[in-house]
Amino acid sequence: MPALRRESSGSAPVDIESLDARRAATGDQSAFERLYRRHVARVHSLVRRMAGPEAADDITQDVFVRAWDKLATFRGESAFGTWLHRLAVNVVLTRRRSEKSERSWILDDEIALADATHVTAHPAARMDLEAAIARLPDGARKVFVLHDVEGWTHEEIAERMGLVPGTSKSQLSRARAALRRMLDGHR
Amino acid sequence: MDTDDEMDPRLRQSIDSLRDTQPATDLWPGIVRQLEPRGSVRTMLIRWPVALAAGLVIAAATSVTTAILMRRTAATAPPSAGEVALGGQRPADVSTVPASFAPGDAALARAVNDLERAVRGSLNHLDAEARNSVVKSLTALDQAIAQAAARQIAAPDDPGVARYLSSTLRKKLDLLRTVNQLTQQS
Repeated sequence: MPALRRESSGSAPVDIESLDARRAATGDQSAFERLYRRHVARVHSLVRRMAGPEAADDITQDVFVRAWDKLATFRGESAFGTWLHRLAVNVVLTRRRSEKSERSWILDDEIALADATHVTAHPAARMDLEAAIARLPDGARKVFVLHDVEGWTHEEIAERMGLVPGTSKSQLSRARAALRRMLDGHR
Repeated sequence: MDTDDEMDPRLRQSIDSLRDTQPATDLWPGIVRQLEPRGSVRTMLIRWPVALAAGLVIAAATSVTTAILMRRTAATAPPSAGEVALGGQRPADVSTVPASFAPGDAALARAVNDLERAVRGSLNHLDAEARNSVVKSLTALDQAIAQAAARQIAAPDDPGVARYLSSTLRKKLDLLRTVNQLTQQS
């Protein structure tokens, strides 16, 4: 797992984080709320980019509920934010896998990618990157976010998503091309 | 196809300008409603084995103390060769700490191993009844530890199993400390 390329904003010193994590592990909800306040923007943004804005609130809540359940397994070997980030990625990928296999969903993306750029036929329709990412099909969006935003390697993405690295690379290439078209405001 | 080095500079710039943003609504009230109080369900699931182990510790400590106090003045024959090392029965070999143990549990297990070696060497200071009582308790605790360790391998993220393993290791350590004190006094 790579180190986070971009540090979470407003993160607290590690000792305070670890202390709050230990307190939360013993049942201190106030300590857990402090952890939530510090990390919710980071987690919500990651989830929103990976899973889409419609599901972001629901999945973010799920991430924090699972974090509460699993806090006893947090040993402080990595920063709490890194542990939480891994958990959030797992929750997003597991959710999608339960609905459909990653492989079949990547195949569906081949068709959906072509449609993603179809509506931005005029420079006036130029959109920002967040909105453009949201328009990508699921598979391409997850690969793009994990690789270009979060700094994962293709090998790591392939392993976690049950793909071969070549599929991850081709998805990324198509996602970048689609994003360029959307950001430029023409096909 | 793009490679990592060939990303469009404008796209790279857009990615670098991404900022994390708060959700539109505060999600905490929805989260806190779903937080399970610590230990409520898990405690129900593991209540009986914990109670059994705790009971064994108390019973063993009490019976050992009673036996020693009642027999301290009685003459005891030197132990036979067959009685050396816990009357022929040895506690489970816990000389190696499983790799699956968390750092805290591994430290506990090492402390248990060290103390157990010391206690084994001095158990012959106890009479047969006290020794049998200790052996029975240690055997039961060893079985509980082995079961917890196996469950932890099967469910490494289960906090209830982790707590049960730690708790059982601490109970064994407490029992060994009690026995060690008593053998030194006798």
